[in-house]
Amino acid sequence: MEADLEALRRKRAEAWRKAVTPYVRDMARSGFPSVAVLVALAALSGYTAFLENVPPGFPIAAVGAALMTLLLVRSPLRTHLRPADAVFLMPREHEMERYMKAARRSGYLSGSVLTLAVWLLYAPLYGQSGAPTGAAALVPALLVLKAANDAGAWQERRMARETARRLCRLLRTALTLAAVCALLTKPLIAALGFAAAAAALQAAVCRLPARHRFPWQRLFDEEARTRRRYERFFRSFTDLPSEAEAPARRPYAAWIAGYIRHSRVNTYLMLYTLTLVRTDIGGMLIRLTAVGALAGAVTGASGALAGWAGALVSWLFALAAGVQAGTVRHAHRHAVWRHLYPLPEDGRRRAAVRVAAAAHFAGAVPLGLAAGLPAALDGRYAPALAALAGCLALVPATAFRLRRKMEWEAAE
Amino acid sequence: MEPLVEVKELSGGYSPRRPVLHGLTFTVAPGEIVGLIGLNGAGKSTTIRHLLGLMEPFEGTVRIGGVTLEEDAERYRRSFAYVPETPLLFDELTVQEHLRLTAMAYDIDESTYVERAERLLDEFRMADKRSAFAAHLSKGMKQKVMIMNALLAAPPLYIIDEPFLGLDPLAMRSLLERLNEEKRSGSAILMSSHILSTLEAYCDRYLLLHDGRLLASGTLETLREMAGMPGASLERLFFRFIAPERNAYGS
Repeated sequence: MEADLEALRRKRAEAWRKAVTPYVRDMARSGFPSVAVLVALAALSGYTAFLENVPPGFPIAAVGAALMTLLLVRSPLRTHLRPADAVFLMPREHEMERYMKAARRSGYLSGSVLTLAVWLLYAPLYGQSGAPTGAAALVPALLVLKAANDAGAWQERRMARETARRLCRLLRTALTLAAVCALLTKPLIAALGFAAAAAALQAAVCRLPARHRFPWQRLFDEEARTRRRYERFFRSFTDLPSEAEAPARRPYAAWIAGYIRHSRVNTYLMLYTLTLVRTDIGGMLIRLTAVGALAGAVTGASGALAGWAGALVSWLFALAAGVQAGTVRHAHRHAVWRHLYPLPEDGRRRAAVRVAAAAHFAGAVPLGLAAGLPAALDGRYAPALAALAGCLALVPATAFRLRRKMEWEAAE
Repeated sequence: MEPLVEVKELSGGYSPRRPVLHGLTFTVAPGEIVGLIGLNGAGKSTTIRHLLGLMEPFEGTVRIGGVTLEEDAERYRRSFAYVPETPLLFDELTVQEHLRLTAMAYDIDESTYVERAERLLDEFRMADKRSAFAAHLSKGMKQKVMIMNALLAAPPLYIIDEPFLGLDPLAMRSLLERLNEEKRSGSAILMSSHILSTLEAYCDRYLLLHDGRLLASGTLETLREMAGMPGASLERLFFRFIAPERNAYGS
């Protein structure tokens, strides 16, 4: 009986792979892999140059410990469980070990491969630190630490109280960081002893809080989150129906909707404003603007290409922000209310364009300023002005393109 | 009195080769509550979808407020509010924002909206949930939001599909009281439900659908006469019409 549960998980994993294959093809056709490879090659070349001339006093162990801890503590689990399993699999909870074993094995393998890949990249830098243990000798220790972290993460998933789970995760992160630091800087035997003591402490603490026998709800939520993450990624390249995602309140931006005039013509304007602000469309736009502003500011301050590199970076991010804001047009396309509200359809399209343009403007201003100000302070006024003007010019251009696209989609 | 809903010889469904509805003809007048009853798959939801204008009739016409959807889409849509069987809400909007959105869509001025929204939030005991996201509400609460939205619009016609699913007894009572109030003020209500005892207590007329055909229609007294069962309850009449050979509930 247990074997069919293992087969069920395998079947679900296979079905998932089949379902995403067309989206992987769309992603491959988009040119994204080429850009990613180019970026990776550029980063690798920069890293090689850095390895040849590592500044004295560079915190090699600290960087390594931070990197490895991030990878070791992260313990994703693809269970492929769905809420319907509360009806169909819950009665077989006592047999679920077999199902979970396959999920854990797959999670451990992918996590270990990633950890070892990063360790391989880090090893040349580690070699220059004068550490007492060789990079190869630490590989088994890292693999054991990975397994211990996966086991710890599973116990945390079982915890009934969110606070206890968070505290245990924090403790696990701190202990892993300390253990990795010890492995990177101390003699192997002593470091292993410390790591074993840390693992024992963590295991003992994990036993204290109340735990579920099998954390169904947490696994359902985790699986749904993972699916949404994949969806979000693939949706950048293709039209993908979305699973419902939890809205974020974001009061610092949602207040704007309260100032929209109470009028029939503004119905969709209010709906799309709140949709953009509270869904991941807005979340991603905020992250994109923050990363773009930082990249623009750093590049602008570096003075590369006589200050024009900063402008270039800000334009690229402003362009991406425009595309991201424009995805609001996909929201509510299939809502039944669109056909039931006594409102003209073109009002919906106009509202989507207005909201996208406003959000794009709100992102373009800080992007242009972040890249332009450091250049202006350096006395490079032309690239400074160009950064801001270029970002702002992209707003009406993107809005025009979006309007055309929506008209075309409506005609289709 | 001019009927608010006028359905003539309506045949429709998903495929013209296999229509679900066969020549339905009925009316709903202002100031009456009409119960749409039938077994699962009888065609109740398909009838409602045709009334909403979500499906094209293969034959026949549907008029609401004196117009077809093609003649005047805006007037047609403005004439009714719909409460679906499964709550259809925007996850990222709060309860209050849903009410505001409906008020804006149905062109209800701000002061009327505020007054009606407060009354509804109070009546349906949702005042403390006004800032909750729809995504975080229980099924019954979501259904309450749908009902509150329909009542806020105060249209001439309510189309209500299985309104009692998930509702607590107090909310059911609030809904039925409000529907009676709306009826007294001249609105028409077309309500589909399987809770026959409730329909019997509140409806003026019934449309009994079976296999996409109107098997019987009229007041309770008319149905009793048709069935030859004086004093019978709606439930007994229902079984008599739907499965006369079983006669499970006696005559």
